[in-house]
Amino acid sequence: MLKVDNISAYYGNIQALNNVSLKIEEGEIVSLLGANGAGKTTTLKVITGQINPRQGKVELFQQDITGNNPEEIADRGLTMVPEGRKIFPDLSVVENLKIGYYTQRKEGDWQAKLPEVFEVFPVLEERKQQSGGTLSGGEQQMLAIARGLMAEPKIMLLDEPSLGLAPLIVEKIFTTIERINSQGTTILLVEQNANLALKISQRAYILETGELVHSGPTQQLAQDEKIKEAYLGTH
Amino acid sequence: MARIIFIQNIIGGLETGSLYALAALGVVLIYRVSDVTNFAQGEMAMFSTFVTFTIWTYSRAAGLPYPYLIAFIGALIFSAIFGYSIERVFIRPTAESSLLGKMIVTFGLILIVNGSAAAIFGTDSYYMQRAIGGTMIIGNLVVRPHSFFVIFLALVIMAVLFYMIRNTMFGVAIRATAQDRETARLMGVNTTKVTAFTWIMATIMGAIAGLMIAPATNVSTGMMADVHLKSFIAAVLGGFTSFIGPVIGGLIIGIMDNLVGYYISTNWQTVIVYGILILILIFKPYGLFGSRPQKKV
Ligand SMILES: Nc1ncnc2c1ncn2[C@@H]1O[C@H](COP(=O)(O)OP(=O)(O)OP(=O)(O)O)[C@@H](O)[C@H]1O
Ligand SMILES: [Mg+2]
Repeated sequence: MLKVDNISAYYGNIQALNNVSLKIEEGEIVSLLGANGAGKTTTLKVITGQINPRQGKVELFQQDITGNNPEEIADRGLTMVPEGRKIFPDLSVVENLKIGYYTQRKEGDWQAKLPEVFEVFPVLEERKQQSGGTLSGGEQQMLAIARGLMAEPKIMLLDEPSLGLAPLIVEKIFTTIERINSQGTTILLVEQNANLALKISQRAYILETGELVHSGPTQQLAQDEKIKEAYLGTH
Repeated sequence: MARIIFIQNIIGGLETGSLYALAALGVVLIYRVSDVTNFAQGEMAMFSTFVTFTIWTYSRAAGLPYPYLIAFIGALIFSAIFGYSIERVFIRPTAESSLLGKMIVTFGLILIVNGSAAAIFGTDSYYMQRAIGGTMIIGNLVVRPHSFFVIFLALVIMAVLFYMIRNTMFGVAIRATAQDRETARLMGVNTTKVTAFTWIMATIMGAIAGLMIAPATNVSTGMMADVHLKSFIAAVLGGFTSFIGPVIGGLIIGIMDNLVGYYISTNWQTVIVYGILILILIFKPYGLFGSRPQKKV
């Protein structure tokens, strides 16, 4: 469904990615792991068209999308829940959800979609008219995911959804990601919290300073002594 | 009698004030969405008015029915194309440049548009008809129907614009683009189109302001100087960070200008009005309806 082929990307003269390749099949949850600065966000930005790779190719549904604009890629059914949530602070909660439906605006009515996301995140319904900027961090993350769901995505990219959140909320977010996946959305999950990410994903890739160093089914990675030591810590 | 004069001053103030409001709203719309302060808004409006005037003159000479209406429709069509072209040719290529760079581009536009107008239309000034001529007497009140037409037209345009920005999907896309362009694009919003739309809207509003003020100023290359300056002050007074601010700001300046000019002194009018405005800005530095601008990412 999504194929990243030998990508190299730069910020000015600084190389951030070197020959990165990933493949995600329909229905999967795949994790992309790595330490700070490994290049996880850069990889996602290449996929969403926010950054043009200097080399390599991105394919979505068998079509070459390398160099397409972010809005064109969003139109194809790929939705990004960006790092740092990126809620529109001066739009209300419902307006944030409304703009999430933008790619679907010709297909139907955004309001008809609301009950579905409120069922997943009831707290958002209580805060409907509040402006996005006044929500707590956890609520903002829920809104970011809910906004992504409004687009009825075929594939959803999530960039560190657990960052800075209390364990209970993190658990809730991860359960929700599993649920979204079980309803037919393919997931590419970027995380630093490798333990949790491996628990819900079938496969994972591990990035280190811009290069892929490991990849494979999660059980296999979770048993690898070197990986355990480097990424899974001792929790 | 005193009351009548007061009311006449208020109506006059609302008339010019609503034109300041229209022009100011255009400036703020562009500023909010693309961080560009369009210092050429007034000159662009002047150019549109010259085109409208030319259409009007030719329609009359050709004996066409309703020449004013033809000119008005011509103004809408021309200014939409004009605004789009300016955005496409001068503004879009500078999207990645610094704020100062963008500002200088619009300063350059002043010279380009003004120079072209002088070359094409000449430096004379011409009489332009009112939308509705004559005067009307209500009780003891003598008013021009044109005043009501101007106020009504401005209100309708602003009401439609506000409704659109508040309620429609495209309106939410405009506000999302204004707050965070990159994330708006992730949502599927074609922000290039949103920017072009704001230039088209702003140029149309400028053209209407120009056409409506023309009977008072005559049509000439310097005709928008006053409206342009006051629309900027209206935007600052109301606050660049809100859409309603510049509208209220425009109306306040229009009314104050008239009242101070009549009751206090025409010589000191400008000094007093701007003195008061500076005072307001000392206490409300981001304008009456503005808030501290949030740093955009
Ligand atoms: N806008 C930028 N300009 C210059 N260098 C950048 C920019 N963004 C990222 N980088 C660099 O590119 C490298 C990869 O960054 P990236 O954001 O992809 O890392 P990450 O894996 O997402 O890290 P984190 O877990 O901290 O979010 C880093 O060395 C970073 O400093
Ligand atoms: Mg990152």
